[in-house]
Amino acid sequence: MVDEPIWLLVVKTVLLVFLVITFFAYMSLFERKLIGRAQARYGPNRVGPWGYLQPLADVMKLIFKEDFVPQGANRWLFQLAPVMSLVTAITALALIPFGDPVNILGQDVNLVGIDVSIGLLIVFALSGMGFYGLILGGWASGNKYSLLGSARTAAQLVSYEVAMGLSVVGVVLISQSLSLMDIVHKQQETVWYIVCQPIGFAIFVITAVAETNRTPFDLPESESELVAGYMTEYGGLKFAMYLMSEYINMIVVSAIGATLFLGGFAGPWLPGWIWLIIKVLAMLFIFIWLRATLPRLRYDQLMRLGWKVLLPLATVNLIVTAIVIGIFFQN
Amino acid sequence: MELSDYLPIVVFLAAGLVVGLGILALSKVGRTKQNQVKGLPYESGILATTPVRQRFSIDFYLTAMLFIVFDIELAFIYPVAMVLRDAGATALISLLSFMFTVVVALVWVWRKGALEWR
Amino acid sequence: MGERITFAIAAAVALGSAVGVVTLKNPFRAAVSLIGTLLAVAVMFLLLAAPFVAAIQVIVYAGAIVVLFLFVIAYLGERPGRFEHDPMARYEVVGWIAVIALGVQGFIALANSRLAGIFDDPKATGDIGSPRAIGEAFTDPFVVSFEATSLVLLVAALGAVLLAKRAVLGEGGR
Repeated sequence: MVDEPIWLLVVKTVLLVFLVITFFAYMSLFERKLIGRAQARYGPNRVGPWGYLQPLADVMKLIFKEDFVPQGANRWLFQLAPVMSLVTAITALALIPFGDPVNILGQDVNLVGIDVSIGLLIVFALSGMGFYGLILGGWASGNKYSLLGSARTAAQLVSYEVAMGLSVVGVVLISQSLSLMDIVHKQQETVWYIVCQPIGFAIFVITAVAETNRTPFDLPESESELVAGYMTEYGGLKFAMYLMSEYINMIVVSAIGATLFLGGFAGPWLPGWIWLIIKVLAMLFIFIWLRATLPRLRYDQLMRLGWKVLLPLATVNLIVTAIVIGIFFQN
Repeated sequence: MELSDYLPIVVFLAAGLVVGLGILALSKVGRTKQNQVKGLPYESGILATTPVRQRFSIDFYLTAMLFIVFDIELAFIYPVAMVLRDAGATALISLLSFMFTVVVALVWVWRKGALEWR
Repeated sequence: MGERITFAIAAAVALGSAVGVVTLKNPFRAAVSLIGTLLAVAVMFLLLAAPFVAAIQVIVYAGAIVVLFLFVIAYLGERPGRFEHDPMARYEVVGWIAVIALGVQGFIALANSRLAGIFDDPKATGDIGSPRAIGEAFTDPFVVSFEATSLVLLVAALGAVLLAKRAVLGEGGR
């Protein structure tokens, strides 16, 4: 990290947030196109060539939707819960390392928002705080489906959080650091950690899908039983905020996964940030591919997978890694 | 460490708040018309018969409690995992015996059927 | 200076949400208010140059434990309090007097003490709060406490399962 003036920090933040939100809009289009192809249809192709103005049309539609708060709802909490979700998602963007500091027009610029000794823990802390956006939204709606949906969401997120936390301990054991920048540098010196932690990576990807409420783990919004789960009473831009935080969370978790297991911004020839974006896109492609391929799990199956398969597997992976590291790779 | 190291996270938090509250303000654009029926909670087209807030299954409590146990385990494992390569055999043995106890807890909870979602 | 401002904000948030926790009638809202206190305490740990504890404070307390509280409230159902007439209500005045006395006492004690950080800005001495320092402490001087923690966790898991079983039996199965 190099010292930089505060205006530069603000400019960087605004730029990154703006880029990610634009990316979110086009990611939703990309997803609809891809799923369309997977289901032998075209996906959106009417608004502009190849449908590339579709996100803009969607936004315009959502803005002019009625601002609706149901009678039984807690007015304040109902409106602020989606904001909470979005704020934690956007804050987590600060942790993604895009590369080593560069010199732009005589000014040293960090290509990362924040790099501290507890970086990885901040990611987990923010994802934990993000849960409340969903829980409170469902509770404040004053609707049975929302309440049930939010309770299920909370139990699901909590169950998979443990397995996710355990799956990255292997990386910590090898890299001896919780700072994401350090972890990338260690991988530059040795190998990408997916090579020594394939099981850890697999568990991380599965739990990442569950943590972002994506198919096949989209129980919180299982439309066949709970209408739309915690989002049942939401519409217009408040609904869009939940959607946005889901996609930004996907981007964040993909970037963290790429950083921990795929070498982050490490790679030959191209600049680091391009490598990171390629890796993030590859992980996002997997997310969408899974959605197009797999049916939704039943709730008891979901809990069984989390507690009886992923958690023990992650624990065994941790113990084996610790033994191998402790015996053969002492400093 | 310096407290100012954590300034960027405050800036990102502020950016998130600006975006979130901005979108919330934008959602007020356009007309709003409330009426008696529209405000009712969504109930698949029928009138609600039971109160919204009902008691939940004890399984949720159990899940949360086990989550706390394993979350705290994680909190203790991270720092030890960081120093394992430097700290030698004693650290490995203490980490393994820590894990042993946790695995005992997991096996016991499993055999009691507490991981079963009913 | 920045540290003092941060501390003032964190202290105000902690106190404000703590008052919310005890005064809000709805238990669910009280639990949500508790999140504010716990997050403000995390900021104070950061001020004390203990980033690892700050992160764990957010993950375990503001994250896991409040979720547990919310589930307990959901399990009990959000019914109004059972006591119409609180037998302790007549002692309310005594409680307030105690609170004020404690506040005055604490203020006097702090104003007369020479504790570091009240009238000067001390710097953190040495590294005791980073994850690495804590890991080193766990592997050498505090190895017994580290192992004891695993036993505490074991007991916590046993207790939770037994309590849940009893609750299910007490209500005649499911």
